[in-house]
Amino acid sequence: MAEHTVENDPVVDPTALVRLEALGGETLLREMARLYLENAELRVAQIGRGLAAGGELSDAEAGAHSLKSSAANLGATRVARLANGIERAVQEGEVGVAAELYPALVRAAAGAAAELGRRVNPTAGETP
Amino acid sequence: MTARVAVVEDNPDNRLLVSAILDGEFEIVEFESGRQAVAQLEAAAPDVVLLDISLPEMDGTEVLAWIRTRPGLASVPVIALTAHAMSGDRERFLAAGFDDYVTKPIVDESLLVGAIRRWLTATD
Repeated sequence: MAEHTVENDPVVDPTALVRLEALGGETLLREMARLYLENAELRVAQIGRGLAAGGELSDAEAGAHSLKSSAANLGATRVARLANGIERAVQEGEVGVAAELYPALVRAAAGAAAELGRRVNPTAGETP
Repeated sequence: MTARVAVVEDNPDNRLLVSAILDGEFEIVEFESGRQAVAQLEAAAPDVVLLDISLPEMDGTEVLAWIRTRPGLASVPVIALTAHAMSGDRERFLAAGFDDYVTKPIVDESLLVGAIRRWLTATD
């Protein structure tokens, strides 16, 4: 079996977006994306502060915990998996592992933000 | 009569998603923090409480302990809503006094709705 890496995870899984749309239409999808984008930015920064020298590890753990479920709601699978990895690493005292995952999280979050931004862009979401 | 469900969850996107899932079948009262829940839950008089575990300042376990001391709330079913999904979590949360346990992300809406319906029937 091929080894699974986060690079195989979708930046944004379209089935999650279809599901949100089925649940509450384009309105829910856009609002969920907006809230996710706001929260993700804060949480990524919080994790970075927590992992930095002199930072509070509990901050990194709380940020990663919040980010993983928010990201999963929007199908940002790669972000969710990396956030989960950071949360676990901090819980297990593997701060070095968490710090190694952080740059990938920043990249994944930026990729997900760009893709979600395109998807929920008001001019792009209109039905013909 | 429409049952009232209190949702205690700090992430606004999770609150919105839960509300979207429950909308139409239940009346929803939202709380952004454990402290807000403690201040307002008795007045809200919910039939079921969905309680996030990882809340800042006052976590879900502390809120649950408080709920169990309040005469008007003590017997209300409390369902843990949590992104903790490690083996043994379910047993740990049930042992802590939660009536049920639903994991986030909520991949299958019917699990959440089913848990609420089950507890509403159990306490009828």
